[in-house]
Amino acid sequence: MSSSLIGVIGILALFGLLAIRMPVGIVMMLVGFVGVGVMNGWPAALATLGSEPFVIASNFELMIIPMFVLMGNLASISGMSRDLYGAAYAWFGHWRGGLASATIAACAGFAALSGSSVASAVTMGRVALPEMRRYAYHPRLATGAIAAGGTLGILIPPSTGFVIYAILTEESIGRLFLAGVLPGLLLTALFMVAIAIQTRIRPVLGPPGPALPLAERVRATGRAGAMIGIVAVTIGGIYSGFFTAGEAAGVGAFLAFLLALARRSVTPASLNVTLLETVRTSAFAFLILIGAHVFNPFLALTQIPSDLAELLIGSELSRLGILAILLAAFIVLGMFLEGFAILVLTLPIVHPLIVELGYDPIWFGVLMVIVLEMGLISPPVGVNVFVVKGIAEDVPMRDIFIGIMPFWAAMLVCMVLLVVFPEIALFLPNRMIQ
Amino acid sequence: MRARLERLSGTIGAGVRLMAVIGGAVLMCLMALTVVAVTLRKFNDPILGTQDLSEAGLTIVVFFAMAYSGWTGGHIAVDLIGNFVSGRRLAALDASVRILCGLFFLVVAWQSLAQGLDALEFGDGFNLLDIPHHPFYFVIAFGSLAFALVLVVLGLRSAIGLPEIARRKADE
Repeated sequence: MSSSLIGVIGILALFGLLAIRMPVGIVMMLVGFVGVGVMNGWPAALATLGSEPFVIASNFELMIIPMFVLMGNLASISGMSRDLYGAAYAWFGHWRGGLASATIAACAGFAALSGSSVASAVTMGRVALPEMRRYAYHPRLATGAIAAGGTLGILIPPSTGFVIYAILTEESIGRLFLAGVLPGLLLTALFMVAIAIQTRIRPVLGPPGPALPLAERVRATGRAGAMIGIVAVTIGGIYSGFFTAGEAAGVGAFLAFLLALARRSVTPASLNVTLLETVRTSAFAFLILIGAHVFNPFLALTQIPSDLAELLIGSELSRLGILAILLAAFIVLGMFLEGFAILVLTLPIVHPLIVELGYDPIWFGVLMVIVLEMGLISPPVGVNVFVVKGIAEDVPMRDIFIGIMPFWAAMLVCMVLLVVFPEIALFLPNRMIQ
Repeated sequence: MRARLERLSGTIGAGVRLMAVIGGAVLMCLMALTVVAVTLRKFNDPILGTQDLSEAGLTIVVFFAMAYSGWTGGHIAVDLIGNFVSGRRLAALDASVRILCGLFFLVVAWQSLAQGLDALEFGDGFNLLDIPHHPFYFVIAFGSLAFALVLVVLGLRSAIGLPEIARRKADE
């Protein structure tokens, strides 16, 4: 049996096991283990199974995952989300659709503290939805803004999506984080434009709130100052080379802890829940990474990634054509698979191809994360949509999906802009102090 | 059988939660270590072996939480067939898949133990402080064993129709 055929059987087995609801990380470990066993012998497979968990679980760079998860969870319990929303509300609330824009801006701010889209959607949704209801916002606009705004969590650093991408492709986490800053701000602006267009066409979707005096706006911004300070220290520290991304995560978590202590929002019970949630999320991310590191050697042995790269490069398709096909395929995959699963399953095949085509892997990482964001709000398995449904139980799923469509289009526009102007992503990392 | 499995579930739930709490406490220590290390480095007085301590601690954080994550439904799976298969068949499928995963993690535990014994024999250690590797291989073996047990018990619960632990916790 040829190595390519074994590879194809392995990939089919992988999708088969995923379909019967086996956890993603274990599927990759199991298929990788059996594949290496068949191709290189069982002693090699058993050795891989014994060594990779230690290699991944003791990887210093990966300390960034639990630290940034902890920072986001501490930010959630400290009430920073309310301050952020208050500041955004003070500046944008009097616009038509302004509360939805404030939700987007606050989500962007919270995304700078949390690497999780689901956490961003839950936290900001609980604060923003009652306000939008109070001002008779249309449920479609209100829920759509929360679901879409939440997705900024994995684009604006810190981002667990970027960490996983960096580990799987051996790119710099710090450079990827900086690459996400400007596209994150661009997407925030595009979401606001989408809201402005909708409310201009149908003003009833989002009536304006009362305008606040300048002094009140400044005061509201000041209340969010601590959170802005934490973001400035962590992202600024990485950019200036003051500390590594992992150290930034530790320092950021510590500052968030101090702030939560100062606000008396830390009790033994709340700290216990926060820590349990942090280690639970971290363990799931590590299991996926261990799975990827057992599966990837098998995939490399089958030579499928290099064969596929040769096939596509030797075809009549242009570089841009291949990129468009890849992105379209990711958008479709995003409708059915969880974002992390897409990253770990496809990167071993796609990354060599992107490098071979001469594209910048950092820039491509940003594009991939935006595609994952689209998956988070795409039917039928858009995770953020279900999260928002949990907060707004009376709004039908159909309405939430309709409300999301303009934001989905904004993401598509963002992706096109990034393809046309790669500097949007690469400007900051290319100027980073190493 | 049901009552015995419920009792066993209670014991396992408490056990894996305690392990996760220990993992969380180690994480807080690593956070403090990072802050002190960064601060002292700026005063030209770096702590020797910060990286070694962090790497060793991280294995405890990850593998002491692995079973808790599995117990509370934290490990993601793709649900493509949930809407198309009847409840009884789905429960049977979940039972088989979980027990298979549990058996597989027994192999992971066995191999981690074997690698740990090798590391002990050859005196492998972290770079700077020369902290031996083998206790942390044993941590991984213990965490994998606990995860295997969790998966098998969750599989047995599905097989005899006991409610899902993760769903029950959400309802509470």
